[in-house]
Amino acid sequence: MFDLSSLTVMSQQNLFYLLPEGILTLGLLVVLCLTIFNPKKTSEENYALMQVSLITVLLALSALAWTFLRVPVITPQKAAYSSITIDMFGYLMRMLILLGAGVTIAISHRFLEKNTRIVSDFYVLIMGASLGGMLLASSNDLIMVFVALETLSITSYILAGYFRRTIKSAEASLKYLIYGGMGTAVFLFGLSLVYGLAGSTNFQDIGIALVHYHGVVHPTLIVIMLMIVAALGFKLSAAPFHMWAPDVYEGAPTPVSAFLSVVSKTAAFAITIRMLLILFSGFAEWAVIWGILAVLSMIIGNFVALKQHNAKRLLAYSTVAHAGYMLLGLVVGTSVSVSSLLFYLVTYLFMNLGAFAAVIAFSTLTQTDEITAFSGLVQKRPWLTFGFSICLLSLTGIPITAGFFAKFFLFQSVALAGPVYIWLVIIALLNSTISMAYYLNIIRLMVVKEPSAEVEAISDSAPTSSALSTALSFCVFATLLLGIFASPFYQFTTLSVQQLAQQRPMVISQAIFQKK
Amino acid sequence: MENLTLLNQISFWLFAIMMIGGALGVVFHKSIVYSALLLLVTFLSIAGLFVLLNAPFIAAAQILVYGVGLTIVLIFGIMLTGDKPFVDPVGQERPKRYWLIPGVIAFAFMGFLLWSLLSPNYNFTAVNGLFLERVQPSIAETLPGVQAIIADGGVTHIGLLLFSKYLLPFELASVLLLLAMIGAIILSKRQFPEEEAEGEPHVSQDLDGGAMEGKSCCSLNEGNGNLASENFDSEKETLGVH
Amino acid sequence: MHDLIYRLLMNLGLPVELIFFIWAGLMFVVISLVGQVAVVFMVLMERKVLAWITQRKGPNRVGPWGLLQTVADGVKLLFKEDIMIPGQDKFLFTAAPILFFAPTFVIYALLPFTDKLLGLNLPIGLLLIFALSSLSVVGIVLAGWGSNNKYSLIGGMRSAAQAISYEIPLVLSALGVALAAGTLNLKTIIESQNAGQYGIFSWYWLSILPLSFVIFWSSSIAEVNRSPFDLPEAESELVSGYNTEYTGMKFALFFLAEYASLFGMSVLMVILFFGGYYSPFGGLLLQKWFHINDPILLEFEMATWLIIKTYIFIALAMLIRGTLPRLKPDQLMGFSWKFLIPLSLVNILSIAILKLTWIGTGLKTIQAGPFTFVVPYIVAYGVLAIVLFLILVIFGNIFKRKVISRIQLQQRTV
Repeated sequence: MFDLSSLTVMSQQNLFYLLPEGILTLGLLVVLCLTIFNPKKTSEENYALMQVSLITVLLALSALAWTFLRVPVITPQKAAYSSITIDMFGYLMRMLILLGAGVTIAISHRFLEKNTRIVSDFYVLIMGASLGGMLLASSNDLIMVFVALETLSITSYILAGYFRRTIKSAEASLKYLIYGGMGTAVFLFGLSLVYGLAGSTNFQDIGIALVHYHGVVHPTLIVIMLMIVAALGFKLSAAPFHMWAPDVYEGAPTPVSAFLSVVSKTAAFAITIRMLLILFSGFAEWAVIWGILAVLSMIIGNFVALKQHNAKRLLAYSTVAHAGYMLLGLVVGTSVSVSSLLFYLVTYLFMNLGAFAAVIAFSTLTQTDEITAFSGLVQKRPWLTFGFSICLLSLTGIPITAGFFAKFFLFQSVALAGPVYIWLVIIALLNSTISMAYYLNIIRLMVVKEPSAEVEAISDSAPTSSALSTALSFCVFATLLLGIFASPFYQFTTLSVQQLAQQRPMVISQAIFQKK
Repeated sequence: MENLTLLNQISFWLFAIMMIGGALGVVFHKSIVYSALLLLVTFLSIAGLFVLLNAPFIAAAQILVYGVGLTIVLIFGIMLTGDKPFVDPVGQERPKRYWLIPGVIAFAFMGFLLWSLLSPNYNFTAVNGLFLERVQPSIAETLPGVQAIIADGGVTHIGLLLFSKYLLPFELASVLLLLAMIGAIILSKRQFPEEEAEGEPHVSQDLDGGAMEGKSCCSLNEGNGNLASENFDSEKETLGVH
Repeated sequence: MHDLIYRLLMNLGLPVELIFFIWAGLMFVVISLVGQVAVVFMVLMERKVLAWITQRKGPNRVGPWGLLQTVADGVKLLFKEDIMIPGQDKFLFTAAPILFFAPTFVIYALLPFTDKLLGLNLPIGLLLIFALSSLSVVGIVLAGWGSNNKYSLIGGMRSAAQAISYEIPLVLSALGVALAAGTLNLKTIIESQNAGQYGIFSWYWLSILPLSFVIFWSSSIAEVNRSPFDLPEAESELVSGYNTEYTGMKFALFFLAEYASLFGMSVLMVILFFGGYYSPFGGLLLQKWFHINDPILLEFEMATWLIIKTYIFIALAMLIRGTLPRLKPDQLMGFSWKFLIPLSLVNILSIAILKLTWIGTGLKTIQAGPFTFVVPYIVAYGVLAIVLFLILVIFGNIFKRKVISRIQLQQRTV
């Protein structure tokens, strides 16, 4: 009676690879239904909802691993009518996004309980944003890119304003919405010009069409580049498109700041790298633009961070600076530098999430996130101090921690790429030195100074959320682990960059010529 | 069909002028209601251009979604928020030549864009679409595949595309809309059942409930860490805005 | 007759563009004349029906049985002073009636009154009609804004909210028709209802889409702002709402357009669910029973059937106005968002299942008939019943809990 051909179409379209996204969507709907059908929730029920969300994310992670192991991706695969590419790079990015989402859910529970009564919708939105980020990271079609980016962005706007009765949160949401709307408009304009130039929305087709322009830089391409750089730079919070970041990170609920600084940025880097390496691989002009952005981000991020009093604002500027370091990998654009950039992203995920988790733990205890309030924390909460210090050391790039290797690989790859890039490395090294001042200042306050009034007020019996401490321990552990066993992860990133390089239009167009 | 090229051209210029004029009016008109109305004019003109491009389905969707839905929501928002109808929303403080720098940048960008689009080596190179190299639109209309699409207003073709090539974005868009709806409710709802559990009396849903609302959330004392005393609604009250 | 006029125009040697314009203009004049005449008599009919319900006589002074009453009223409105009070936004105040009036009449150009009396036979006619009919709301909203009157403003806002809310079930229920017929072309929709020559049994309201019809009817009454959904122009609360400040011809435009949109919606409903211009016995009677094939006579028969069916619905709307009380705003919104929209979504699901089963049997579109539809009908509505039952169980539980918590709250506060 029913036509079964639709089912065969499903298997033909490799929808099997999208199992993690499917699980995430299903979990999102389940949590939403549990929220709707049980409007008045006790604290225990909220905790159970958090657990359901966390289990969903873990299930999605294991589904990701399962699909990865079940059908090894030797060459890049297309899925869902080639609007999705399945490759190692996509797997890496999706894994990072899911890990970030899981950690965010774990660190947010106690914080939300303390500050608002509407808890469970938060997890729904986090899962939705991760869904958008995951599809963005592996998308292969301009329309897919746009819809996924919008899913990520719109949920982020809402999350930033989640504490709807706090004026700072509302301000953060509105600012983010206005800047983000502008960014989206510019991005869409750029994409429409790409479509006009190439006549297709598919990455491969566009790549082939743009191959015709190799050697001759069409002026429209420069406009397109400027527009796409502006929009993606906004998402990456790279200077001079970073203005929103401090205000939003400060005003938004702290778990949201953590989410934005890690998951949103990872997804944005994923699509930037993908577009750069597949869509516009033949154009050297990008390097100049990204170079300017990288240098500006490093300098502005680090210098302004020196003057900050609020830990969240400081971390906001620090993310701007880190975006600058990571952009160096794009400036050079060799496969070694891009794989170093990916490794940096992996370590950045753990160390930044760890730092934010520590700030959340501290502010749940003391109701403040001023930097001076951190004084003498070691006397009351030694393990929290230890974890925070490890993350900060890693962000600085001190050896043994992962941050050192990340920076080492990245700067080395940039320096080896050619004499032109030495200047960039020198600027980056100088900036790393400057960053030491503000990162180590916090550690100095926590360890050396006498306890501040807020720290004095922490009672020894104050409860610590087990989810939060587990997440923090996980981040610290991962940071240390990546610092000691860096090479297997580095090999994975190298492999994923190789697969990206396989998708370059040059290769494909040669294949077409061979067919003819 | 008869060949209506002259009519097409007249209509094109009419719609184009209306569209650009409307868009300029949106930016430059002092009253925000007129801006919304001019936005409607712009949207309708775009719908007209879609008709000229043989895409009546998109045109109707444009009227339905943008022309009506969006404009009505916009005007509705203006009516709910704007106390005084004819006030410059930004205020008097801004300098007289506030539009100069952005205007210059915008026009420079537009000029560059126009120049780049008109530059000689621009080439309609489509890879696997219907258009091959340098196919003129008037020729394209005579191709059999294109004619079949035009014949039913593009409905079938769009439907097939939505459920095959763009299936995943289409489905993701539904998730996006769901999330946006959740977000809109979270950001705008006055009181949640969770908040009601505190023993607050149920706030009535009438239009003047703002004052009562302010009290109820002050006592809830919902705040973000050190910002606990700063309350959004009480802030609104002091500003005298509902 | 159409061919004759068309050939005459062609023989005059005019340019093609001009002929197109003249042709469209002629068509529009004919169709809008039909509309105008219909409206004039609808006003009288409404007054008579309401009088009959409230046991009065109604208009009976001007002309025999008061037939010329509306004409006299029209003349009166033409000569009335056009009052503008200070503080009004002159441009918006003047533009609003036109913006309200124009789309309502443009719709007539898309409605097939007979198979030839049809301004534009578009492949997307159904969608365009919805687009245009919702466009007239902008006029109402601007009238409310431009009047500088709080009652008008509230009327305008209510209208906007109502239009947005009821647009969705309206379009979703018509989507059922489009799914069943496999097209958005109104003429094809009519033809597909008459495909099997089963007459009334194959009309969509009976054969496939009764639920669609109920939803469409309710929301179309709301869409044209008629009682019991006439909150935007509630006389007793808002002094007639958005048109309070209007006098003379501007008021007449509002008045005309309201009745015109009721007429248009009724015609659309007949086209979508009641076989359009075909007789309830299948095909056309003149052709079927009397074997007359004169095209002009057949066209008259088509128009007659359409007008009869349309006026049945108009009369029903008038009866509803005379009998049912007005809803409260929250009831109105709740009815749309909590009842009609979920119901129409379930409806679409059931029609999709129906269509799938039909495609499974090898047919491209659903051909309605008295017996052929039985099996998929049972399948689809069985699923529908199960879904509805589940919704009721789940939501019923919530409502129960809500009521209990409300009572507990009251007890606590007392």
